[in-house]
Amino acid sequence: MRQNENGIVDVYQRTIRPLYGYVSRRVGGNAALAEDLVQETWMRALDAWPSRGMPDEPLAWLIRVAHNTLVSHFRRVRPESIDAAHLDLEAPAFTPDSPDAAALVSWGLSRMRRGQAQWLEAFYFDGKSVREIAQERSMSERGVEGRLRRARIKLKKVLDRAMRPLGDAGGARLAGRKAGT
Amino acid sequence: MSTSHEPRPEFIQRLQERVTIEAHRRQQPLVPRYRWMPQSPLAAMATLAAVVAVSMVAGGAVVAARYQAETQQQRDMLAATYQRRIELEQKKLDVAKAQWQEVQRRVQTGQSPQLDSIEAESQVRAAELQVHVAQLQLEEVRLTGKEPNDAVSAPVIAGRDFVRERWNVQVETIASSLDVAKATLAAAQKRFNVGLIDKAGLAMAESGVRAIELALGGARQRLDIRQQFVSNQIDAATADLRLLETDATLRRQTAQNQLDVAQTRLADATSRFEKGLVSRVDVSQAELRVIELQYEIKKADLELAVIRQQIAQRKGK
Repeated sequence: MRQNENGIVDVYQRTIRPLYGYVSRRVGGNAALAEDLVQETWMRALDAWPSRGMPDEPLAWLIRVAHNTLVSHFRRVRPESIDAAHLDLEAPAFTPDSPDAAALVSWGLSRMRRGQAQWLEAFYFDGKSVREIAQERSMSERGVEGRLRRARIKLKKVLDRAMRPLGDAGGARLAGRKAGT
Repeated sequence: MSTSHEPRPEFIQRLQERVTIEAHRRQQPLVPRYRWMPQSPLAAMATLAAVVAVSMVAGGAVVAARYQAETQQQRDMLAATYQRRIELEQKKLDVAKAQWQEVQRRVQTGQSPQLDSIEAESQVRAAELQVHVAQLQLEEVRLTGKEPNDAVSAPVIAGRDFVRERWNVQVETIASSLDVAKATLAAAQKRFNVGLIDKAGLAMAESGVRAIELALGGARQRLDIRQQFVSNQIDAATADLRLLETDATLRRQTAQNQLDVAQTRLADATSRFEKGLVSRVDVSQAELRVIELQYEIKKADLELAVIRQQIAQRKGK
């Protein structure tokens, strides 16, 4: 029992920084929100690990759960402090590194299919270049650019549709729905 | 990106404390301790009773034989180990104090909420108590030349009841964390009132207070059992059984407390699923958690029945 506890604390110490960084980048450095989400991720780990055993790759497990926690959060909470029209997703210099911009992008990504959202996550939040993504996925850079372009168009569509009528009844109604439903 | 994505040291420390406590608390009821237990309830009770009896005898022998320091050299080595533990706990206390000062400064300048200061102060108190525990352990090692013994039936040494002294510190530590849990609940209540968190979030904070109150009640009961043993009102075997009963009762109450939250979460997930906000998997996960906790409660009930039967048999002798 003591060994298990020590093992968990050891995993905690090894993973807390990369896990926090993963979450923090997706909420634009909003420390209060990042801390809440990281804590919730760890509480889920403590729910699961004692009965099911610690995973072989704890950090990968934690990041997967953190991703689900982020998606759940952004499906519940709608950012209202920024207008999507002010985001130029196509601009080369655009990075969602402010809390407002990151919240809006994450909110939009949580309403897209995972397969499409992951391209933008890698590019915007993990700071990977097109070349790095292409190498990781054994694809051509052109192929990656195409997928990023299509994902950006989808994200823009999701944000435009939900955010344009900001504050009116239509916006509120859309806020609670998944894209494409 | 110019924003820092490094966690605050006080957050790392605070979450580590929580992870350690939660890991300890959750492992108790969740580890399947009786995988080999027969399916028939009667057979299961008989087997468990036999295990309780055997482990009491074996446990006593193991504790007695463990780490015996027969020579002066071994005794000195053991004492040196505990001296180093005091130094380590003292260093942790220094860090906790420095962090508290930093948090106070941030609170005064409006950079952190008041709750952070309450938590940091509680960590200082907890660190002070850990230094005290380490000092008590060293004193016992110097007197006995053996590892400190925290069994309920451990003997009083040279007129000192080290078990009671250390368990008293444990009670103080839990009481200290209760203040933080209450402050967290008050903050959660405010956030709930303005719609920042949902009902499940509030229920979790309420459950945190209840969990600590239960732990506090359990720790005080352990002290009471120890007192009864020391004053010869009960024998060692009965004291062990009463302690097992207290622990099983606490596990049951803790699981019931968690079940209340899990049921709130399930209702929440079901409602969101009906509105298309979460997937069926989220609802299934919430259902699974409810079933797990119901199983834990049943298991604790079985353990309690067996232990109470043993206690009744001893009374009948």
